[in-house]
Amino acid sequence: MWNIIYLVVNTLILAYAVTIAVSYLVLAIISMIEMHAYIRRNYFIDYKYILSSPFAPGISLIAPAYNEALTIIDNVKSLLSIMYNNYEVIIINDGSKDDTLAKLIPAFDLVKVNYDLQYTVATKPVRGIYKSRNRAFKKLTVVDKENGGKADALNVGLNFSRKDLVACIDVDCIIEPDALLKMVKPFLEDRTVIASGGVVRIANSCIIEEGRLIEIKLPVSLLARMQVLEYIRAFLLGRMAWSKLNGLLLISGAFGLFKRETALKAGGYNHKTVGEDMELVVRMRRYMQDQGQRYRVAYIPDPLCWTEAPSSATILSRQRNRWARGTFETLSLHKKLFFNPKYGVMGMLSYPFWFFYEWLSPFVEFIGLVFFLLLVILGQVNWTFFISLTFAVYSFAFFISMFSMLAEETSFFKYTAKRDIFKMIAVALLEPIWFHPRVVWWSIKGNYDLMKGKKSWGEMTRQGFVQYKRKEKVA
Amino acid sequence: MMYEQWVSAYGITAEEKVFIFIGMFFFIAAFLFITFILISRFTKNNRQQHEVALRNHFQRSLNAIIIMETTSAVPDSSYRFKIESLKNVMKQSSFARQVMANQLVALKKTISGSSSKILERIYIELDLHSYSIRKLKRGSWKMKAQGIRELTELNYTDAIHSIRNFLTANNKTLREETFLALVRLDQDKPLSFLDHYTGELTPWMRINIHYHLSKSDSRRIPDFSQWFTSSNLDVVLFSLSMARQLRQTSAVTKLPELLSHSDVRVVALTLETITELEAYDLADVVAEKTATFWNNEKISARLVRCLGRISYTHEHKQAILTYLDHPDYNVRFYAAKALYTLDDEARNMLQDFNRGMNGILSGIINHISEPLLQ
Repeated sequence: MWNIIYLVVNTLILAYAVTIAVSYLVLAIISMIEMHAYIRRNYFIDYKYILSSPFAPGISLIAPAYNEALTIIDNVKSLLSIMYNNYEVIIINDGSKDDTLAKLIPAFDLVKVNYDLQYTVATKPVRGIYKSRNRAFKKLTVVDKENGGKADALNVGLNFSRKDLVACIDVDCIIEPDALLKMVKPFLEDRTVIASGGVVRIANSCIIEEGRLIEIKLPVSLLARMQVLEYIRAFLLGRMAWSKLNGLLLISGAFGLFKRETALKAGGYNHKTVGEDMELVVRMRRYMQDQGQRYRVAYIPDPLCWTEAPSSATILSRQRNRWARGTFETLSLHKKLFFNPKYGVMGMLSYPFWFFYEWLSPFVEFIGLVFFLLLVILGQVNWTFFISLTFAVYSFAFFISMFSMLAEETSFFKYTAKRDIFKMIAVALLEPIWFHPRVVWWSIKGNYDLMKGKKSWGEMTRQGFVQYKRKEKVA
Repeated sequence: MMYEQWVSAYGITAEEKVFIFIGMFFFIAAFLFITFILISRFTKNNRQQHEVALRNHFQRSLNAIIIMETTSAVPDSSYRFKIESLKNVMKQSSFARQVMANQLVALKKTISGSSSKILERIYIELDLHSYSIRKLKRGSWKMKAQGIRELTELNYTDAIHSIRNFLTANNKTLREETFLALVRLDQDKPLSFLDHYTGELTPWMRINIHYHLSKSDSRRIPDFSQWFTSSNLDVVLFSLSMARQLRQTSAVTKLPELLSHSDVRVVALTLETITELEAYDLADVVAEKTATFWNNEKISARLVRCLGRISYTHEHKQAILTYLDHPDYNVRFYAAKALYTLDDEARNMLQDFNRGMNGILSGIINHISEPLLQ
């Protein structure tokens, strides 16, 4: 009996490991090919043509703000200086408890206006809409509403906007000046595009001045450095391939561009999940499939948005806990897609991949570990087998990290200092044993918290770019 | 031998051998990647340094030539000497030729007038045009597109026939480069390819073509209404949007026909064109269409906006007034805005309607009368 259990569990875990490794390898190769094709295609592009064109579609930049008083002025100024002609900035003050709104009003000379807002998507009540008396800030609108969470705030932005496209962003992100020009291009090249996403990079330790990225540096914190590698792997080797297969399910909440009409018809953001970014993309895709309309979710490999990654384990654990809950909530809300041929690539490939290799993998890893400990206690471990298997898994993880480094080196080449390569090699060697087990644990904890009924985002305190700059100057 | 000893000493099974082999394979592959990254960084740096040195040298020579050519006192022999010395440097490698071509293209984008003509002449005298034309015969679409770009930027009109061959190329980027090259190089009929074009004309192409047309001599801009009857829907949409943007009033007479087009996008764009061109003569035709498009909220919104701009009779205003009852909010909004901005009579009609409906439109009226929202 024991031998049968041993054989079954071993075989299942091994089969799982082999299929996940093959999937990652295939995705990495597709990504690499597609990314280089993208670079070749865009070699001839002059984005300034969009900048000055009357044919460029209108874009509303929607940025929810909750207790952002410390940095809101710099952030808004940065958003107002983005290179694009036909755009507006909509800041949604989501019932901040600090003086976010009080700081915005004098800084931008805001006054309340009689805007006839339609609640096309139901949201918490709006308390007031503010416009600037200063013509220099004509593009800016501030909407003050009762607290309802990020998804609710984004829905207010969707209701308010009258432009063709909406860019939903995190107000504290650093957006590259030409980000909108690059993000809008897929919509111009292909009328069936309903959303486009870009690469999010980590800005910890980078030099930022007045909301502008001045110098790119690897983070000083080891935890943040681990996330740099993780982000490069996920964005350059994963999403690019999914975009090519037209199976992309996630556009980062930090920066995504959507067709407003489709987002509204799909019902806007779901405020009952903490993974509202993924859920919206899945729902928009489902809507298009149900309507029998052709569509595409595009992806840009250029680094367009820089964000501050958690540099403390406590904050990171909250973030990963939330991501795990968001993934499960989205997957369970759309369980109808599971191996449903009606939904094409999304139903037959993307959804099962997310289910088996994103949501389920922490559990498989955890069960594997528990099983291993049980075998150790029972003295049933074949140590040479264990060592050879661990060596194979570890070297594969290192290989994939190096593959992503190669992708970065041959494409956007952002970390130019020579010693950065060696630092990243060290990170890649350390990550599978120091960082990954913690991520697995936080994911399991997230699923457990979801079962207990946890719905909150979890407090995300940030060190702040400005604070880092001051430290730099002192040093 | 050592491996076999090691295997037998530890009693390694066949399964374990497979794992060790896999592990070794990925480790070696990872280290190969690292080696590649290091070599790539080294060559990238060297190449960059070499390119900067060449660029600086070329820039100095080009500056000197431009100054010589604009100063008539300098003898021709000095000019010849400079050109020959540049040729000697370029003979060294195709990399040097490419740097020079890039330098000329970059300079051409920033310079205009007589200096720009000098650059075009240098391009030919250095025989770089042959270098670019040779690229058109290469297998890679990227090289072909690069050749087209160089010939176009440096205004080498003799290449038109060679470039025209790529109008039906399979590669989209190459095809787009060809269109843009013809728009810029063909002095007589820059958009003649539209006559028989059956492919897609994306908004991206529209932006590019508009950009280049807007930079060129206005006499080169064709009458876009000639393509309103094209069998290619993309060409019709493109022509309409260009006629609207370039305010071609000659197109007005052909617009009423398009209001009965089977594709709603054409109808929508026609209404936008009538609005932009302020074609008052077409107000009656547009007002007659109210019943036809009532159920299409997108067309209705454009129709009321159009009437808001071109109406001049009480009947036209009455036509807008009917839209204040439309089930779609946006249509009601634009109808109210149209009446509010037309004239006093229309504004009174709007206020009367609102009073009659117990102030149902007060929110919209407050909105459209807000100065900061204009």
